[in-house]
Amino acid sequence: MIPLEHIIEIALLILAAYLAGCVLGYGAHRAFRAHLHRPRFARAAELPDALAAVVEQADPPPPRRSAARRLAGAVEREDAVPVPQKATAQQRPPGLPAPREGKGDNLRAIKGIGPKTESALNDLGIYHYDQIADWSGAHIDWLEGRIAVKGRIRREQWVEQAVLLATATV
Amino acid sequence: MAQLWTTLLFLLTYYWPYMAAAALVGLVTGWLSLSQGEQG
Repeated sequence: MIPLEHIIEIALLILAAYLAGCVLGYGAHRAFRAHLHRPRFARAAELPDALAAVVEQADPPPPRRSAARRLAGAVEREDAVPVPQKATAQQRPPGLPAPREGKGDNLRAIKGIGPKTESALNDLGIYHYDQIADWSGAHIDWLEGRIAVKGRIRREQWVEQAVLLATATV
Repeated sequence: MAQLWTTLLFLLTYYWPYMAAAALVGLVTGWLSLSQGEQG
């Protein structure tokens, strides 16, 4: 017959083991999900601006500049050499005459794109996530002011969202 | 104090499979709790 005090201690030890397992399982699941949802640097490497945005997000600059300039993604560091605005570097993103296989992606899945913006993008021949994922800084500069408020595309990270959605749908 | 540690060691030696089972159940519970939290 097991003594009563041993039964209590066994119960406490089992409870402690259960709680430790709960914490461990929760932490492991969080780490697993973080690993799954990490930014795709291999794809982003093709997009210098997208990579810069990801790096900027990982290491946010101190709030030295005005909020508007930081939101516009114009400058990250105060000590950086001011980059002249590239008025001539704008480039229209390549569009498609029609969606592939007759059906475009649901661009409204990208946070920040509503029905009106989606319609405007479709008018420009942009129907798929991978098209947005391939935008460069020049493309974004061209689009801002035409279909979105200045800085909004970078601030809402359309390209990064599109990269994730494009890789998720593959 | 020494007696407590001796008792704990004894219990761990003889009942570790039950604790391992409890830890496993806890592991699964902790894993699933995050999934349920995200669904809600």
